[in-house]
Amino acid sequence: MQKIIKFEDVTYFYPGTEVPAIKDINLSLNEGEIVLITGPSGAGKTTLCSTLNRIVPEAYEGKLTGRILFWDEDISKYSIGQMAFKAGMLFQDPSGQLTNPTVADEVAFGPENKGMPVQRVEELISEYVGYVHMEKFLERSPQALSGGQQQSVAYASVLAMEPEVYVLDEPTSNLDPLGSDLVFELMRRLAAEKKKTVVIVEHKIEKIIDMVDRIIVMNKGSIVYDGTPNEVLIHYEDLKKIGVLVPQANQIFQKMNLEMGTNFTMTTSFEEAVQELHNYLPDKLPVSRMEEAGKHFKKPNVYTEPIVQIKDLHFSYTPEVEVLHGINLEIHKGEFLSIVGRNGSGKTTIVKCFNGLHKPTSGSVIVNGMDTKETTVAEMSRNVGYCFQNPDHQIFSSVVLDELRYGPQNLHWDEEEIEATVNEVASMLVIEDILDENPYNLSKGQRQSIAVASILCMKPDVLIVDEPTTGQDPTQSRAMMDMMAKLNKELGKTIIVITHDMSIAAEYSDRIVAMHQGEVIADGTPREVFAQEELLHSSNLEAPQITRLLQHAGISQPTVIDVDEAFELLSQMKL
Amino acid sequence: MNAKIKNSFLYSLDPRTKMLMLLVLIVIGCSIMDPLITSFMLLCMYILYRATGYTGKQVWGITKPLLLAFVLFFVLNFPFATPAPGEEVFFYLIPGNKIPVTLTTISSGFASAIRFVFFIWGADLITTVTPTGDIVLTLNKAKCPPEAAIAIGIAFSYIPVLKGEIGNVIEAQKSRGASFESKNPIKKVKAYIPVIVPGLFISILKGREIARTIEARGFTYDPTHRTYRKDISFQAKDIVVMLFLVALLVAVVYLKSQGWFYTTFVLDVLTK
Repeated sequence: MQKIIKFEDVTYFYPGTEVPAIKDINLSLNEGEIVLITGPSGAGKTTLCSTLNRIVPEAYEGKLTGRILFWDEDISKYSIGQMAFKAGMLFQDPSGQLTNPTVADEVAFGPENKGMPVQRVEELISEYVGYVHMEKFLERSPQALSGGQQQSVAYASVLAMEPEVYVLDEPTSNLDPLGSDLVFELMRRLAAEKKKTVVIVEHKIEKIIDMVDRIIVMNKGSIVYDGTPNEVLIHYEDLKKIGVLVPQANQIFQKMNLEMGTNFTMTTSFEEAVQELHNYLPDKLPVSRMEEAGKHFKKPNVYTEPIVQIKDLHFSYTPEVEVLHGINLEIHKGEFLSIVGRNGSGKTTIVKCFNGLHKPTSGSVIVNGMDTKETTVAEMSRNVGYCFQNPDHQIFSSVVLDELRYGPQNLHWDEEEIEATVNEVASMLVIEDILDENPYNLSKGQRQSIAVASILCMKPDVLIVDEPTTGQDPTQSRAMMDMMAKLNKELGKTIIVITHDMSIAAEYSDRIVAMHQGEVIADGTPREVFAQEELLHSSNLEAPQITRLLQHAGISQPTVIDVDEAFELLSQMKL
Repeated sequence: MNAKIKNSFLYSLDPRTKMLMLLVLIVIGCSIMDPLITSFMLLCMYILYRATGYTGKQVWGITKPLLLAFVLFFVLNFPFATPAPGEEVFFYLIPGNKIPVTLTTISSGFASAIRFVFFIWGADLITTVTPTGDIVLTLNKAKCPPEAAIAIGIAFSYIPVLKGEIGNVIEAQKSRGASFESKNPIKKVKAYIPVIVPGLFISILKGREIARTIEARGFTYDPTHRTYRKDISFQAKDIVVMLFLVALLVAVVYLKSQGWFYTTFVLDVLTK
């Protein structure tokens, strides 16, 4: 294979920084190769990709040293506009990259910019809108589409530019599982049919591992691993330390090989992993030993005192379309509850009924004995804290301390009480050192902590956190969820988390509520919910990979929800 | 936007015709002071809304948020309106014979308030029936630099997105006990600071994101030689509508210069 791109000693500093975003990068990408670049947030993945179309350094300035060659030609003489048609780039946020009034206009934008004849532009629209199955939406506004559909349109608009290299920068990080699957399927087709060089930046390794030829792992601006998937994934313990989670199937096989002396072959295909495990299992499963092992699995806490009571809740944004259809649910004091479901299933709508942002069309929501229909949002905020997905939607002060004081001030607390609460919360979340900082100068992770802290300062009994892990790398996700677990265990707060990440939900929750089309379709412990594979599948949800791996290999009872449980169970097989 | 609006006569007009229509409506609106004529103009605008496919409920949805401003326009007009010489004063707004309330000042306040709704309705209707792509093409035909034309088009496309973001910010601050209901204007402005600051921050981030995206789609490849998939052209109906608009404009401006359309014009005509 010929080398299409070469990085020679490339180092780049963003303006005003002393630490390089990428350093000493030496890398060759081959024509037709599909490369996965992964690593923790801040590792330099996006910066590396942005050098391919000259957005770095041209749009940011800064200092770039070394050379980047495209077909052995130094790209420093090209503008971003010229490189855009050599290295087409798809970004993270679907809505942020759709700038035209209709889907057709969006796909036409690149070819029009290149000055292509109108007839050719029309042909490209027809070809690539069809490619992503969006023909029915040609004249629709891209902003009116779902996240997955929006990313498909953005994808088509990159395809229509027909670049030689496709750079896909975390294209599914803001999407729900269904939207992600839609985009992953398109990426598979691109890889199989177009034979183009594809560079994918992604945290969700397990979803795409089977289609990549090569994995590059970055950390702190450098490449730390570079090889075939099997060559790289073997270092799963080291990868975990830097915040890269390898697929759970690989984790369990590796653990079994190391600790039980088994001989599982590492594979990147889920189907092959199922077959591999199936071959390992004895013809007759040791049911009694498995049941015994199951008795030692993590048992969620059980709570009984109701704090949120939802009775026959109906809600509509407009009289014509009902969003929630008669929900009955009781959430208990001290519970750690996860609400899962695809986009549009009603997750966010229902939690907005808990703090009174939405008033029920009919039915009732009672929190701590207060009917949300008869209580203002401000009054409800003393009982229910709601932390929005994006911390930038609520931060406005120039000093962190003022941000924390805002909620209690709205509740007209006296100065002494405000000060005591703010200090207590800052100490609890370990943010005392940044109280005098400007929030806008802090990292997104820190801003998210401030957003949570500012809600906690109002001392709510119930804390709702909306998709705290979306767009975060595994380390950041866990840090956020650890904070929630701490608040749950140490302060006894009732935690309600909306999430798409089933592994996270399994690991942290006492209880999971699965929603689909405005109804609760499953409600129970993580083990009870994930045991219902068909029901979840029918709602475009899926249990963690480790759960499905064992289920598909023939072990449905007991249901495992993490790698440790799977190890405990599988180690019973060959005793 | 529903199919009825998309199939309407107004929607089918060339964007330049619609721009002229908006301009003529503004000039006429500014020229006519009589509340009865402005009410008639508002009625015509309502008929235009309905003919374009809007339901009465949709028009009410647009009008409802304007009611407070309607009252303000009516009341705030009194200090600036001058009664006709010798006119009967009904009462004074402030003791000490200050700010008289007469038929002229009431008519003037009412006309101002109606005019305000008329302008908002006109701008809303014309912008709704003009796709943003057409705005770009219109600017392009007007020899506006392509970078500026496309930037304006993108700005229009992004209004609903930013509206959604601001909605999220308001909900986030309400969830922290914020209240935006104060009747004191200073307190009200202060209450909105926690909305304005994140709103600006998000707008700046979105702006950067858009800039990066359009660059990555080759926007700077060669703006002066880019192609446009769609084109706009005048049809016979555009010519007819434009001629009508120009005739209307000339008639109103001429009659205004002859002393017509003052605050009590119709009443005076009827009583003489």
